Amino acid sequence: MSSFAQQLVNGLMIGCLYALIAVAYTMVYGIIELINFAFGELFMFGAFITIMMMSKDITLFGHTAPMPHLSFFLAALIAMAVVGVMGVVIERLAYRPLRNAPRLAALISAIGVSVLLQNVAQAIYGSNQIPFPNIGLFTTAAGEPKSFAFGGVQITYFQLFVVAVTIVVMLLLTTFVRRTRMGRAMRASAQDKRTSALMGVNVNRVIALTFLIGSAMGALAGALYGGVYHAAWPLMGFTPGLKAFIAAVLGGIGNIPGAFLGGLTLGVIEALGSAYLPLGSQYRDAFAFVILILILSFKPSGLLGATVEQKA
Amino acid sequence: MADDPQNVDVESGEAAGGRFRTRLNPIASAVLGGTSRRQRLVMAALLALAIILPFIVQEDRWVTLMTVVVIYVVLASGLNIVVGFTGLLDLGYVAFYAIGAYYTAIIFHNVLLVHYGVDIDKYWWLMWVNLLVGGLMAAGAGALLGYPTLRVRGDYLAIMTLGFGEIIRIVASNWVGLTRGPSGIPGIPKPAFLGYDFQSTVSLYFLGLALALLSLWVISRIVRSRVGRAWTAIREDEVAAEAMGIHTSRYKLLSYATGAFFAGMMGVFFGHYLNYISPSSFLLMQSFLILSLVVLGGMGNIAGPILGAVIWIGLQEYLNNFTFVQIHPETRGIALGLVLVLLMVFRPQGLLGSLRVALEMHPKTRAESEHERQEWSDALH
Amino acid sequence: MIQGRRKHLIIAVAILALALALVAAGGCGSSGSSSSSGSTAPAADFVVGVAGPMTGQYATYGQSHKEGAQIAVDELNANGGVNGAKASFVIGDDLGDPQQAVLVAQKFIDDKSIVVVDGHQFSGATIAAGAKYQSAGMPMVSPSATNPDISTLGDYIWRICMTDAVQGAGLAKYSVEQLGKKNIAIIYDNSDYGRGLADAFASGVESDGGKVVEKQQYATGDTDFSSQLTKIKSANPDLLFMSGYYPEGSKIAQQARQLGLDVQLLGSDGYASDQLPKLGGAAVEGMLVSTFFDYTKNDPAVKKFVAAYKAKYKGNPDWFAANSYDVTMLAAKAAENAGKNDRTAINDALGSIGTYQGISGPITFDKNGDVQKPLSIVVVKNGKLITAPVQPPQQ
Repeated sequence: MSSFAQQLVNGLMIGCLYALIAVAYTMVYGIIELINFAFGELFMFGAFITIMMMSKDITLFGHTAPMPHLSFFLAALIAMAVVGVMGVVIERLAYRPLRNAPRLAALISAIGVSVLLQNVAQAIYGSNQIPFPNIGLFTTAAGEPKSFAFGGVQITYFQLFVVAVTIVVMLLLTTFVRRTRMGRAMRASAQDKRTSALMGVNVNRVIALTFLIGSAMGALAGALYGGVYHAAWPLMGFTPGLKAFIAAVLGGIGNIPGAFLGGLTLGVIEALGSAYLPLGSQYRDAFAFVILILILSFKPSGLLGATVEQKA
Repeated sequence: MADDPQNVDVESGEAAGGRFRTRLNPIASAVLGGTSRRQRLVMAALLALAIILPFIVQEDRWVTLMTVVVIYVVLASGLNIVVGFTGLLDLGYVAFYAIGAYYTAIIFHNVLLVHYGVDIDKYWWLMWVNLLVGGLMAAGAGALLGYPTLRVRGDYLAIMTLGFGEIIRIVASNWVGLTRGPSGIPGIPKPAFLGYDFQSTVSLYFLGLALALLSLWVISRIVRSRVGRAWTAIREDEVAAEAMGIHTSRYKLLSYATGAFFAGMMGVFFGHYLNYISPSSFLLMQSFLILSLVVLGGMGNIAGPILGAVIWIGLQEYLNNFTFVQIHPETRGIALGLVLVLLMVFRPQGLLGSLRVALEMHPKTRAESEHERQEWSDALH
Repeated sequence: MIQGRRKHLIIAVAILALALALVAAGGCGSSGSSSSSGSTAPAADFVVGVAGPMTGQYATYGQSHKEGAQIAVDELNANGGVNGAKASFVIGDDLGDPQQAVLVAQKFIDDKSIVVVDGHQFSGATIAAGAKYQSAGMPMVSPSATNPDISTLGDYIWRICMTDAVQGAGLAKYSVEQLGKKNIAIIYDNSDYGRGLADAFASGVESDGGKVVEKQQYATGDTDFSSQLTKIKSANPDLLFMSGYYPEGSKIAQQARQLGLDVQLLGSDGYASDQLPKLGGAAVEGMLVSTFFDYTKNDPAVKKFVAAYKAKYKGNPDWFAANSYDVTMLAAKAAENAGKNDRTAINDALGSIGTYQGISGPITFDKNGDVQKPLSIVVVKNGKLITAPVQPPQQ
């Protein structure tokens, strides 16, 4: 039954990517309580900017421009910084004015930002998929990813790297939110903005910082995703963004370890369901939504419980 | 007659002044009712235009475009019931459109043609039946899909409805035995009535227009009734509404069902108009587009979606004439995104938005009422 | 505060309504209001309606399509035009969606300067639009729509690509008889095209004496195929047939390698593009791909087209571009045969054109407006698509 083991591992690998995005998502959602539809697009820009920094040249707006040809790690860091700033700008322009408006307005604004960014990316990079350059450390001389076999299961070193990064990020963010002063300020703002403001918390700054970190993590997830699937394209962010949100809900919205767990669970359910349910691989995309509906119907606070109340 | 609802223009907030009270006769009032004078003017102008234009314009392509606009007017109006009047952000609305379309396609193709082998042209009357039945099926689906969302608030509701919409599309793409999967169902006959075939573009347009006018009339009646007022109450403040004795669950389900009915009915029309149905007509982007029409035109009033549909689709077609847009089609998407964001930040009630919605949506006034709501909520619990 | 604005709004809306009326009225005057490169042209100009997905997720196919038509039009004009008149084209963006396709069809039909349609690309769009073209008497030649239902749309509807049934059967025979593979796995895209081709391939394999050991599906746009591939691996095939498009295909190949599935890969025509080795890297080396157009072929017409394409667009043309080029040139030839740039004349001429030597192969229409063409197979070698050593029989 090594096939089962392989399927399980497959699921965990996708799950890790979902988990990374979900962790970033849940941190932001916990505070501003807005489904940031544009999050998938920040993820997408993370991948594109990483590619840009790693390449020797790239076609922008139809013209070729020379590029720094940096290593993956440096490129990803730059992408994180740039996208982090993008996230802050978006929050300032499209979400902050609507902070006190009904959910509807903010959600529609988020959809607008998402559509806008998708098309901006298409205008800049074209609609074709762009190959992600091979990462020297993880690629063999023949151009194949370095991998090894373990008990009949094939794993690549890059996949392990993704797992490691995800765990580290999850731990870092959890510690940050639980132990630091800024983290406390974030949790306070998540609970009650008005009272926190009265207590001397600069809510605007807290939210901006949250967006900075969350978007940077999203960009990191994008860079890793691009590395795993060896490509980036303007529409790549929408589905992962959606699934990450579902994973976050599954784990308990606002709960960072919960999002991690939710991501892994979703990945495994998708992989195993696709492999073993009759007609599974055909209806694979529907699994995430079915899970969402079930969770919200029966246990809305998620697997690990929510830290934000349910009914507004 | 002071409290006769047809004479009080609450929507425009001018009841107190009474300056704009109009005493139109009951039928006109019912059709155009529940709206301010400004909105009535707009609708009258558009109606006149809608009837006259096909005769001024010689080319079929404009009439086809107008038919598409008319379809979207009904879809936007239907979604307006759910999103605009009741305040439920439904992102999976296109699924009900699909249900109506597939229903009629399956009846005509799978059942009649393939299974019984009859001459489907003889069954012209069935299309008219299907308009109603398709709508009812969609309404049933609406209530069914709405049920799990009852206990769930804003954002989650949006994603759940999105999920439903996607699930239906995925099923339609994969249940090959029923829907022929991605190949779609061809050969749906054009509408006919007692020997008259709706072959020409203009005749199809007028059929669509008739359906649209009927739908708008029905919607305006419902919205002006107790049901509509309950919906508005739910949108403004669900807790208070419940406290006032309104069964919010029941009215929410009714809202989904009603909105879905119109989508389903138009889906049936769509099938007979295009003569071919495939899952690619029911993508998520469609739901977003229909939502944009509602938002642009103005939520929570009858004329809003009409204007939204006319302006947006007309604008798209107009933009397509520019070479720059043809070469860089992303600009249309960028325009859509920008419009949505700018609208929400600066004019969330849309172009024709009523004062009432403006007050609700505007951050400043909203914050104050939030505070009051909090006080009420605390007092009640 | 709000009252003043309302008045302005009424005025604005009234102006808008008036504007709409004017635009519409204006639209009936000059029928060329929708053209891009061809303005209000006298009926004698040779204007082609190029229809395909120009935006959205399928935009890259529309792009190639457009480019092929452009090369053709440039060549025609360099040689004096068609029937002495200038050649040009108008673009219609159908987004790959049947409803949009109908709108595009209507637009093309109403534009009196357009005499023939090069499109649509996707089968659903072609079916919906084709009905319109048929009833309006506008000849339409599709470069790439493969759904069998298109054959029976009417005598104004033609296509120069082979149907899924023909390609599937041909590839099955190739796999079993020429490549000698008996245990074949299939992974296919759940689109009209991918599914239809996979089904035809599967029945072909069975009837040729092979065995389909596993058949797995995915959706266009998916990125992770590990569960499908894991199942395929445990079925132990000696060939994996991939029916779909290259963005997914390149990832399928990569993930197959990563999972240790080292079998011969055979891709359908949707893979025949330089983008495949670019995206797939080392994983697609040695992959065989069926194509309607082999740009390395030693044929003067092919070489000329490839050179012109490279000069204008850098990079090699894929078969979407090649077929679009063929459709445009074929239509021009028909127009020349008929002696005038007129819809009905062109349609009649298409019917009597005999065998046209296109760069994608010889084109002979049967009574349904379909073609029978031999398959070509290319192989990925050193990041390029070159003619494969083993070819199916060229009838």
